Amino acid sequence: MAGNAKNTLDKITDAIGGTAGKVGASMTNEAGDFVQSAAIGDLYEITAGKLALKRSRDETVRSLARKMVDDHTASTHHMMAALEMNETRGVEPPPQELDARRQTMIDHLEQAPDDTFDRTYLDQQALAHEETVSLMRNYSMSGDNPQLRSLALGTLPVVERHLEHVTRLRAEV
Amino acid sequence: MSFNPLKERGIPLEKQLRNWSELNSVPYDTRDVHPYTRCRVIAMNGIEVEAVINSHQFSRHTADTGIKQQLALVRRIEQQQQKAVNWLIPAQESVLEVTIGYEQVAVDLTAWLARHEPDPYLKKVYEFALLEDFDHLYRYADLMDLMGERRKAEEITGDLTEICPGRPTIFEHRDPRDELRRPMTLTAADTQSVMNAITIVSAEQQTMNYYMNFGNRPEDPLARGLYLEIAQIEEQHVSHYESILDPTLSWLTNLVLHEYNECWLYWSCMQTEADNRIKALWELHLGMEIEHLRIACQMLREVEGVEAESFLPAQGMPEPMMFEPNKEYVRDVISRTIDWTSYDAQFLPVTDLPPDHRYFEYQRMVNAGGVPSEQVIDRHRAEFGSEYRRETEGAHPTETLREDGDHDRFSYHEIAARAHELEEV
Repeated sequence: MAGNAKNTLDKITDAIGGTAGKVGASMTNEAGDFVQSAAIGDLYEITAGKLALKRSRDETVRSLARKMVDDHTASTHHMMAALEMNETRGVEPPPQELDARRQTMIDHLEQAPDDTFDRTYLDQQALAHEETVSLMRNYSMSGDNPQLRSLALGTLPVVERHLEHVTRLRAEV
Repeated sequence: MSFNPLKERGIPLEKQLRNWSELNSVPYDTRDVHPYTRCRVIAMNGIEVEAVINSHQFSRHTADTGIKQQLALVRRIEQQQQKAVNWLIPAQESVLEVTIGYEQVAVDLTAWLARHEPDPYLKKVYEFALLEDFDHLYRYADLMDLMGERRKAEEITGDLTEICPGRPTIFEHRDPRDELRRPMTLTAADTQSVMNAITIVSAEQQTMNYYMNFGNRPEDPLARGLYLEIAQIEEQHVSHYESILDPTLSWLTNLVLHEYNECWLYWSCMQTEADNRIKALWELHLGMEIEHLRIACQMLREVEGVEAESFLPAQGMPEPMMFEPNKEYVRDVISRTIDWTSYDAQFLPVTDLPPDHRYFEYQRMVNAGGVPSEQVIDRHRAEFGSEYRRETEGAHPTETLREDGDHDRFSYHEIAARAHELEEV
């Protein structure tokens, strides 16, 4: 398959997956599902951000990638700390690996040609953050665990600012 | 033995105002005061300062003139309570002697809270900072000896608290983002956890304020340097502890919790105070606080339609907070966690940090050009031939932190040296 056609197909696949993820996120109310979804979201962001730092030459994209790695590392640590508390007793620990959907997104990012890498990264960032905003907003309002609701409430404004940042960059790059 | 202040009757507010001579408490006699009586005075002063500051902040964030009036009425009394308590400290005690008292509070209060903390993560939060305050006591004790004060630190602590290195102060300086912990939630946390947190935030905040204001009183540049260096750690500790408080509470809920905490602590002081004159002051203040709590609960009911009983335990607080020796416990915490640091909200051995972690850059910046907390020990060794330590329970639990230990082999020294080498490459 020609490079351009594959790249387009990959983007369509990412978009379909992202839309499904967003719908799922907007219905996540159970602690175990929330932990799994939030942790994989962080893992994806850190992996994609490190990849962008390796491949992008655009300083605005690199700066976004650095921020994503830092902020999602922080939210991973907050999640791990939350799971040490009595308030989350019985909640399953988070997965240490990406799920198939997010691994596919990383594969697409790795395979993206140099001249479309930044665009692919930013498009994925928009999809991923729409999903995370949806997850945090919904769980902070109707999640079943108070500590994890508090975590979602604290993370929501951060990822909303990320989404605004990505939206601004997509219009510029 | 439990205590529920919601079921007690206090002193009506209009009967709480005292005149100047009633407030001008006769200080305790520094030669025969029990070290833990001094600790209670220092701790309760911090509690009253927090009550006042919290009330001012609330007043600045509400337009409700009725609430502002109630806050002002109660706050005036809290201010009087602060004077009556803090004026118990005699003029004969120097800034440095009182400092030793502050650090004894920090060690034995934090240790008690850690031992009684039901949440495993929050327990780590207390144990983490405990070893840092424990180290401050040792640095200030050596400074006290160097400054030619009339007394040795053990005369202040009464040897109820050991004096030797904890996590060395030089290594406590971390990036500000690594002081932020996970907050508990009022809905799911144990009330003991909530009370512990309000208590420690107040105590650490008072210690921070004390060093911020009195740290410039000594003439000796080394003493001034040590105060400012440790004052910066107290800033870290206030950030560390305040971040475990539930940030989503309404101002009125927060006020109720503050008043409940004051009741619990004055009741605790009453249970354990050996000095009858001071015990009477604790009892008087408890009577006042019970009324402050009733007023706060009434405001919460009228404004938000919430009953304080809905989030406070029906059986009250199970036991009093006690100042008591924690020597074995502190030694155990040293053995388990001396090499810990923090990365965001998590605690981990410093050797697990990635080599390019922000911790090393922060260390490089602030420790460039000499570190007072190290210099004070070096100078003590140079002038007296040894360090000032009070290790009443035997040799230091960490071999490399013993006076004759190989300090370069302490894990923090090793990792700092490695980071320095990497930087030079």
